[in-house]
Amino acid sequence: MTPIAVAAAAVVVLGAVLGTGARSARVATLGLTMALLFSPFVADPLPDTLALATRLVGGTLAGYLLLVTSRRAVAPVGSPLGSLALLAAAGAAAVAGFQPSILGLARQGPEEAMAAGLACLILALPAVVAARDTFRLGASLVVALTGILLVRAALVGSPSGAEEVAITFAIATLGGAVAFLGAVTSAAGGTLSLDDVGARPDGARPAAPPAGVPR
Amino acid sequence: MSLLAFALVTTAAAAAAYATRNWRRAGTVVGFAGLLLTLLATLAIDAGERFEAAGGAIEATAYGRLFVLVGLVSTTLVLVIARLTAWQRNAPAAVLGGTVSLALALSSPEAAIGLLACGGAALIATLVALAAPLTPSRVRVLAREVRGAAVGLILGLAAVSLVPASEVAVPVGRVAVGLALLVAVLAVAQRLASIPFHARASRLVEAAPALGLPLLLAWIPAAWAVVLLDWAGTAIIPTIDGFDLERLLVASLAVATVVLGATAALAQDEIEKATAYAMVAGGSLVILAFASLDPVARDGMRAWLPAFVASAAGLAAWTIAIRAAFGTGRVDDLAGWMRRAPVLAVAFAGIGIALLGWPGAATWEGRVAVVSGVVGSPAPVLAVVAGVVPLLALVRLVIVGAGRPGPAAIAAPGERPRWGAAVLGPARGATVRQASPTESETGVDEGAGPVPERDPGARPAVRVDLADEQAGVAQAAIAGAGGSPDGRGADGASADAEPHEVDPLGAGKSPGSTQAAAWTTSRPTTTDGSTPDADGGAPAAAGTVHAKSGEANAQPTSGQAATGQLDGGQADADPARADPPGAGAPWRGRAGLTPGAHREGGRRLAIPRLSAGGSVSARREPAGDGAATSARYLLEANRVPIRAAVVLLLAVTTLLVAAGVFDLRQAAAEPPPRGIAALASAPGR
Repeated sequence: MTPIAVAAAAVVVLGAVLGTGARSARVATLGLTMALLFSPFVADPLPDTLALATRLVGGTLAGYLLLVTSRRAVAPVGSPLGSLALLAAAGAAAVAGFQPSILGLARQGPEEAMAAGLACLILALPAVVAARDTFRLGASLVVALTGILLVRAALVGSPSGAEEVAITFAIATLGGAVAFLGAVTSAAGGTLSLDDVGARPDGARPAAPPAGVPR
Repeated sequence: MSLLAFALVTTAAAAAAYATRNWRRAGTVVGFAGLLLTLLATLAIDAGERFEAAGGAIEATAYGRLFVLVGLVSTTLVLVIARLTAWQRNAPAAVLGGTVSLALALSSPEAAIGLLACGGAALIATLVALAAPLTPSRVRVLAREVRGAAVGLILGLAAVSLVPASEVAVPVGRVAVGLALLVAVLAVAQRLASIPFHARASRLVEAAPALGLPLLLAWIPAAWAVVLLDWAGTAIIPTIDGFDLERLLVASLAVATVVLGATAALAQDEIEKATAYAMVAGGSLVILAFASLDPVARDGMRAWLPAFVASAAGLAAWTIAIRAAFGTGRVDDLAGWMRRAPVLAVAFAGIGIALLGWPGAATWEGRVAVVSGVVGSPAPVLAVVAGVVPLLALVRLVIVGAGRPGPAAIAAPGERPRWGAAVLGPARGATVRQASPTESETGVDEGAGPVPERDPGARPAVRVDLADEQAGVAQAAIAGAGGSPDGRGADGASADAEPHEVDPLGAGKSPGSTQAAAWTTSRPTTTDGSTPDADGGAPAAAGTVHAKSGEANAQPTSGQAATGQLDGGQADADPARADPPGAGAPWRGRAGLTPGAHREGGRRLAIPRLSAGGSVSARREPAGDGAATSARYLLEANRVPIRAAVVLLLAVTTLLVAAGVFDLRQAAAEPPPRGIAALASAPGR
């Protein structure tokens, strides 16, 4: 257990709570970016400088893409459970992550990675299953991916340099996918909700056709 | 360096194809040139070459090269057929974008890296393939696909993390191994749209008829299967003894998929869904391979997968060609299709034979190996059953096709080449395009109504595609399908359209404002072979299309009244008739969705339901003079036989792959790059 890993794990969990629970999309984006940027530091040993820089660039890019999506949010996002409930769930999952595995899994990485990873997965699970808002869906997918990567770091050990590059690629691609999905959902429905896609917006009833053109 | 060169060439080609997608001709040329270059770069990959960077390594393998090559060739041929109906401008970029990631996934020495690359490939290909045209149904499918790809990636990573391939050095509990196996199967099943994830197949083929089956339901999922099978070969197989319950669960899932998938395929009315569910049932063999986990079965499955990919592409191409030729995709309406389209019939039979295989073929031996691995002893009869059941839906299509020709078959143009069109010009020979709801994806939503049944004696249908919203290109075509088989006497004229306020918001108008665009069509009035006036003769119909937020009315100002409504980005005037004297042609109008946003008083407003209008004007093509014009007419008049020939070529390719040529079986049996030795040498382990 190293101080850097513990601090980074705490920031990641806090970021994940904000990312999935904050009602403001911009605050949620801030939380997601925090989680993405600090998750590579929850490792022992730390990745080499180049791999770390790659992850940071990828996290920043994904954070920016999520910020683009958050600008389209016109309604509150975030879990209906509220941040406090999410924080409690994350805390419980983190405590479970510090316990020995009932599956008999040998850990090659730090325990705090397992704790943070399980917390992220617990936080993301409800929205991954049921989210109808594209920002919330995207945020939960990013948190879930971060969580499984942390669990992997705990079980298998620090990722290799090549794996860090692949992780960066996947995170950036997911961020881009969320941004694109948000753009098209907003364009097709006026909001980020998938339920509004194709629905006629209020006040957009068509005017009468010009004279001579029957309806 | 060959692998690096491949990655660079393919990435550049994907970027160029995406950048030029809005220019119809340039996009086509750049897209196919990119696909060709990528094919050459794939052929140039040197198997065994190792490229080390960032503390890891990528190793090109003969199997990976063959897998990419088969997928690329078959998908390219599907795109050729799609281009001969209606162009999907994002298609080449989607294929190329996915190809880069797939090649890297199959060359990676670590399963996690392979899965991350597969996840990236799925996301990129899905986004690009479904990005245009953007209809409400496509947006919903896109959201589901993004969610599905990410969840599949997370499940796969969970599996390979629970039991890393370095398991020999790090003992793992039995429960963890069993759990990892089940989670891996779940990931593959979700990607292959197996039961209970089968609804994905239906949604994808509706949203992306050309790429849904070959790319998103077969090629990319097959790569996931290869990566996870290779992982299972080193992480699970050494400890597989005593995992009867887990293997029973996996085998049950495979059996449920083959039985229910085949049943669902038989129950479908549309050929796209029937073939998609048939492939879902066929994909159950991949799940069964995880229940077997025998090294021989794993090699057999690796040899079977390329043929599966090629078959899926062949069936997708066949459905496109059939719908374009017959104007319908309803199974009941296709009675006698084999008599009218014998080349497509031969191709269809070839694809079915390739899927089933024969003794000695890669597909046959692969299936026998997998089934025998599960049963524990040679089980050729069970293997035959496992191969036949998914094909029942295809047998039904054969039975329907061999029957007495129905109206659609009678009215359909034959496959005989029409050489005279090059001389006579479009007035006498051109079949420009035929009305079909999925022939063009422009503005087609899932709410699209069926194509009106064509009376054998009816005049050609007139189709007006009003919007290709992002490109700002509208198309219109007057089909000459009602003419005689050789094209003589068919009315036909091409109608090019100029965009007209296809982006009303760009002009700063508020939502709900009326957009109006005039459309007129004209076509030759002569059907006896004489050359009409240069301006195309009397107008068949002229009128206006008024589109607002979600609604449009179309009203011809000459001919009989016709109305249509644009709802959900689509205007469908069917079954209204715009009848100029002597024409009697039913017409369909469509308009695409134009999503966008604008600012009003400093506030950004997103516009959910937008209208699209198109100014469509028909012009009489000059008579055929000059080689270029003649070639164009020749192409226009011979789309049906060309499409049939390409499907046949695809069927031959599928048969060759199924037969195991190109050293497929040797390549499939080679050790994957993600062996234990490679993992042990990786840093950080």
